[in-house]
Amino acid sequence: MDFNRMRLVAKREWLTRLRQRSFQITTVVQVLFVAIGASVPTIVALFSDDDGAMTDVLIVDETGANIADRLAPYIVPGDSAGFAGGGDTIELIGTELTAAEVVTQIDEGTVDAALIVSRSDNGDLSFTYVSDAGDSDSIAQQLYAGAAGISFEDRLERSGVDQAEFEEAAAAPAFTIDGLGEAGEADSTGVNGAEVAVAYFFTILMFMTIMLYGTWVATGVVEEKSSRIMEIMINAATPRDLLAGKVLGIGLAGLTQLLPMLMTGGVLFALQKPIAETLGADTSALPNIDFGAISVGAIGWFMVYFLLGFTLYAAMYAALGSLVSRQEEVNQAVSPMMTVMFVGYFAAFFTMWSPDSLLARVLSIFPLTAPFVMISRVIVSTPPAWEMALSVLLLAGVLVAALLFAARVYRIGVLQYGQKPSWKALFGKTLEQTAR
Amino acid sequence: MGLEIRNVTKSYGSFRAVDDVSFTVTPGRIFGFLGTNGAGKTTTMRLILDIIRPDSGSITWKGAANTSTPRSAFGYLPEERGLYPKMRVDEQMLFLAQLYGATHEEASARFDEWMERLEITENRTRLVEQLSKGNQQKIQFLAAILHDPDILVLDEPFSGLDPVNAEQMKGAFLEMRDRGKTIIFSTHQLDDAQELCQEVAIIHRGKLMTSGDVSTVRQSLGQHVVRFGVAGHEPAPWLEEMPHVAVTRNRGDHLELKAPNQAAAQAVLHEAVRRNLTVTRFDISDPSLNEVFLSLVRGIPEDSNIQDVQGVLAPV
Repeated sequence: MDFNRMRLVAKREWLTRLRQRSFQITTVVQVLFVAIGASVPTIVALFSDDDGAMTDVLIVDETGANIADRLAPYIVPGDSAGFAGGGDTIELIGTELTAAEVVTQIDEGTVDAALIVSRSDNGDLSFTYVSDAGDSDSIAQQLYAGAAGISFEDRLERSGVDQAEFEEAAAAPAFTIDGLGEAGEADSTGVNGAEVAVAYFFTILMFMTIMLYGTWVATGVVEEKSSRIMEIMINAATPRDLLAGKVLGIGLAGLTQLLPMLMTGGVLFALQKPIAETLGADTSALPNIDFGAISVGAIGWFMVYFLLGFTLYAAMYAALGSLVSRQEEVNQAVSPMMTVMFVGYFAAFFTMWSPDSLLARVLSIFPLTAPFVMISRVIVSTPPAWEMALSVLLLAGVLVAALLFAARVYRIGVLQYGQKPSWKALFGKTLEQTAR
Repeated sequence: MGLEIRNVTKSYGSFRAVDDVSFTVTPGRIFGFLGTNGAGKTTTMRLILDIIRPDSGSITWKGAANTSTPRSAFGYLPEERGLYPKMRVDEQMLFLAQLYGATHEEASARFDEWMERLEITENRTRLVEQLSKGNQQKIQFLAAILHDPDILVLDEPFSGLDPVNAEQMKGAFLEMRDRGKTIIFSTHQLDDAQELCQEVAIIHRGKLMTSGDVSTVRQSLGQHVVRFGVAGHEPAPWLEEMPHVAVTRNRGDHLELKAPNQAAAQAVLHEAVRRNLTVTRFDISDPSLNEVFLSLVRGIPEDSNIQDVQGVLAPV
């Protein structure tokens, strides 16, 4: 192994890709695509209706029973009700205005809503909620709960029940919410929607990049064969240097394309709230789920499995590419390997919904499928450390074996035109006598 | 002790591409490797370069196995020309020279020098695919020499070159020899070989027919070629009477005869003088490489014409 030669080959491969117009355009488009995708929640928050965020409710109290103060405990302060409620928050404000004046102001739009409280003929409290918006269901519900409570207290008071007895009877039940697992992870299947979305993204990305950059390796080898420069290259350097340099160079080109995209996505997700606040958007409208934390962890694992998985498959792409003489034959040559990749790819989608099933565990450790299945599994679940370690170690081990074998195939394949090398030539011990 | 090829055999399946071949190339010389298409020239060259390895036999350069000789010692111009079509000439040349182990500075200096020498400086920054065929071939030659190798292995370096470019290429050959390089080149244009080589090997169907100094090889048939012309248009039936001498070819203003020795050749001159003919041409030389080659490969050199010129002295 001559690292200087490998570096030269890698540098040439890397620079050649970087200068290609198609490479440059793809890289920019990917970054833009991810930037837009990651910004969607912020943009939605920025343009969402302000009324949905904070609703002032004027309390027109015609009873003199201090309704505003008594209602307050029933209203959850600063409640952001997540997606469904649109994050409505209620602020109760006492007013001296009459009911008619308040209704006029609501019509004019200067006031959001009002609760008019009076006493009906039988002495019960009577509540009327006036609002300008249609999206006030959650507010009306909260106010109704409050109104029911106050009415109950009011009736008891008027019927002469002792205050202390009442409070004892009305004491809150013992009710504990025990959310198992991490925040934002609660579902009957133990799977979180946001994590599945991230897993989808990274599984597809893993498959597409390994396939795309692997194909670059195969077509690059065939190009060198068909342009016949391979004969000079093989004289100047050993097949192993050439193979390693090619895989390294194209891998680096791949990273050059991937990293800007991943960093853009990661940074935008992580900084979602600060960015939204800077822009003046209401951050309470943003999803509670921490996309940032999921994505940053996923990017880390993605890099580990991409580097190992790409190198493994790229070595095989190179070996298979070296066996054919023309570009049209490349697809046929790599099809058996592609089948294995597809198995891993589809198993990864299955894994998202049952990350700890036996199949998922086996395929996330089996080296050829591990890059796809484990990236999916590690995002939606927390596999045991020993399984992660075994998966990475096996992958690295098979990777070394694949590189060595690929170099054998490569040095026989690159000088052959038209005929397929025999299995004996590929596996036989006489190889050292056949080629350098 | 230069490049020693000893009993080298290489088979592909049941086909013996190279069959028990042995020869020696003296350092600092131009060595011509002659043979028809498919004779085993390219296979032998790849064996020398250690791109492929022999089934049996050994190849050594200055006493050490070629397998342990550094790659930078060899420069190679393959028969199937090959460069990256979409790469700039200067970048490509420096890349290949560095791949062989030269430093950027060395390669760069040699590149400038040789672009100048081959008169192609205007092509520096062009893509290879934009060059004319002749210029591509010059670049291909540069790819073989810019790392300053000791041994140049050039497979059919003159094929496809026009006469002007071929002359430049020959000049480059001689320049490299003057710098102490050993040059091995294959060709089936035997005039090129005779003009440039000090040593040759002739290979046919995987077997070595002969090898050694050009003069030795040319003498190896044990024949002399006599070029003989007289004034006038008299037929020369008397030539047929001469012992040991045969007319092999009618060259227009003279005939070519073959004679086994000096005495037989001189006898022709004496007879012409005795017959009062005006001799316009008489020289005795060794057979050309072409004749040696053909006689080794076919047995007899171009015998089809002999009947036509029998008995004819003067031009037709």
